[in-house]
Amino acid sequence: MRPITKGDWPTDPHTGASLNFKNWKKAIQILKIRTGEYCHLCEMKVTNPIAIEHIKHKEAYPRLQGSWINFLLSCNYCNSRKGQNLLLNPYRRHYFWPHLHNTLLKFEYGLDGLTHPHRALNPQDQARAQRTIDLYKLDAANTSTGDVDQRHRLRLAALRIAIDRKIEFEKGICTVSAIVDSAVLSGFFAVWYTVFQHTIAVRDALIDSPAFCLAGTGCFNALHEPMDR
Amino acid sequence: MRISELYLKNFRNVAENKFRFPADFTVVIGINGRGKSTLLHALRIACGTYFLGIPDVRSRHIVEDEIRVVDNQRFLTPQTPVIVEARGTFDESGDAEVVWRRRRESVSGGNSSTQADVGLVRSLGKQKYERMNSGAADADHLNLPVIAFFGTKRMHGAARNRGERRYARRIFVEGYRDWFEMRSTTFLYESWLATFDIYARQGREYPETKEVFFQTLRNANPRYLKEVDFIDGELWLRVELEGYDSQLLPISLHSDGVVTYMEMVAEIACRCIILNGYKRVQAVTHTYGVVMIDEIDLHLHPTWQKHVVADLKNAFPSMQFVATTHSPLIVQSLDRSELLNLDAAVVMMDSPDEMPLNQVVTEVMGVQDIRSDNFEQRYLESKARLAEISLENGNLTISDYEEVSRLLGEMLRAETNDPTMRAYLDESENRA
Repeated sequence: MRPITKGDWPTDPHTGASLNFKNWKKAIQILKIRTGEYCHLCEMKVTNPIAIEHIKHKEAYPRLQGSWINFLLSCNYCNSRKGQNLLLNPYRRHYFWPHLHNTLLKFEYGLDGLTHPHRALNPQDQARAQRTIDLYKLDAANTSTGDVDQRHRLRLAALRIAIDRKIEFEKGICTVSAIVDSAVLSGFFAVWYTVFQHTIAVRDALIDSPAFCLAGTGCFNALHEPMDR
Repeated sequence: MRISELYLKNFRNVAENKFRFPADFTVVIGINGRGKSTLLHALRIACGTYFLGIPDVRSRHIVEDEIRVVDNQRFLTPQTPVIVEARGTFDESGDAEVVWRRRRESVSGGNSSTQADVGLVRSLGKQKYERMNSGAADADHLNLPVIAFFGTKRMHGAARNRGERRYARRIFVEGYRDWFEMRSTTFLYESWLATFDIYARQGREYPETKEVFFQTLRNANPRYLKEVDFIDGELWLRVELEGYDSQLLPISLHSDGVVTYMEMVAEIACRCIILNGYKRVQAVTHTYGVVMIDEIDLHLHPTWQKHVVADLKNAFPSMQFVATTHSPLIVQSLDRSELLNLDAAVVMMDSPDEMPLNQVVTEVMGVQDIRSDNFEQRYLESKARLAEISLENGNLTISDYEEVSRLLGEMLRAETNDPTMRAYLDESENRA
């Protein structure tokens, strides 16, 4: 899962006053600019439709429905999978979040294209990561039921493309910038990161790509190694 | 005439509901018993209001069987009032919407036809009828709507001898003959064609309209129809379908699909010309109206289903069509606005014409477990082999990656909707 930084509560450029998000859809554009056009949870590239995910859902916490702190950018699949699932409080301590933690170190993708808790975590943190996965059903796989959830299929497609580029890169027939462009277009940053994490030139270019908005997250050291925040 | 909205109360199995028809072509889908045909029957009553002031044409009222009943275990209680209310426009009313309704207050009573309920629509029809009787030189310049209902029995006895119905050039009587249940056995187009030349010579037919008729048949079947003629009282067609060339044959020797579809098109075209022949070359393309078709895919092969909606729009560009279907291929050919889903529990994210067929079946039509083939099996096999690879070694070799790529391709191929992705998979397979 790609870590993000939402930045401070946005302000009006003229008055300096904090923006009012009574209409929370207004936050979509700002979040897109600051964090990229990808679902914060499943990392799917989202054009339209895109939704604001209220971490604390707006029905039970009406006062938080316009709160910047409570917003994530989410595809409709993640947003509707969560629904009104009960959120454990305090949510910052019971789950891992892309805007609070370095989620590259908390989750990983297998070759099956599904989200798993990172194998390097201790059992307690693995359970914590699993709670996030369960909350948004991030490990929903394609089944024979004809489920409409497209996240797994799209992630598999990104994985396949990433692996093909990896093979080509090793054979010397694919450039770094071509790989980064493919990654930006296909979405699923962490899939590309996983495939290229030991291919330093590509890994660094992916991290530096402005489309993924990783500068300023404080999730990487000077050598582009991921670190906790 | 164009109907944009229908409100039903206590009509057949509908307690109360409102249906909208935002596009000129509407296809209604839903599980059996959800009221697809009910909707068409109600539309038929709404359209029939037009004929209340026209003595030559039968109207269509709410009949006793159409009153909704509630079962309270021991007996059935009829629910009244029954209301069929429509909103729409007529060419005479311009863009202004007209609302009219048929109502049945009790089982014993008849349908109300009060001025407030049907007055305006009745008088629109009546004015045209009176104009026809006026004796003026252009008394047939009526701009009448085609109104026709094709039920599922439309094809029974198709392409048989239908000599007893003679075409006698009575605009209203024949233009709307059996409009409420168009049946192949009483289609008029053959008698109309058979007498056309002689009437044309007498100046009673507009000479251009015969070619308009044949052109309409070609427009409605641009892919398969290679030749069309009228010989010895029967339509002859040469049809080329998927590489099979039928040669020029009388329509009665063609397949049920060709007969059902081509006769329906021929009959709609013929009604357009009977009603509005004065429009000459535009008699079909500029005739408006409402055509209702139950099970539009009747007898059509899947390849044909994919474009039948486009073909009908092509042939009758001013007409409103409302059809029902169970065919995912028909649904897949539609824009979002053209689909009326009576199981509308699902919110559609994409327009059906942008979806792959499996998604149409699951997401739009609500079918479960569509991958009854060995999808699950293949998927699990690929997954198991992937698991082996990742277990053997943390760092994969190039050949490992190639194997992974191949396995992912297998999994995706069964799944992918995206034409770009499919092309990509095909292309990379070729390279390897």
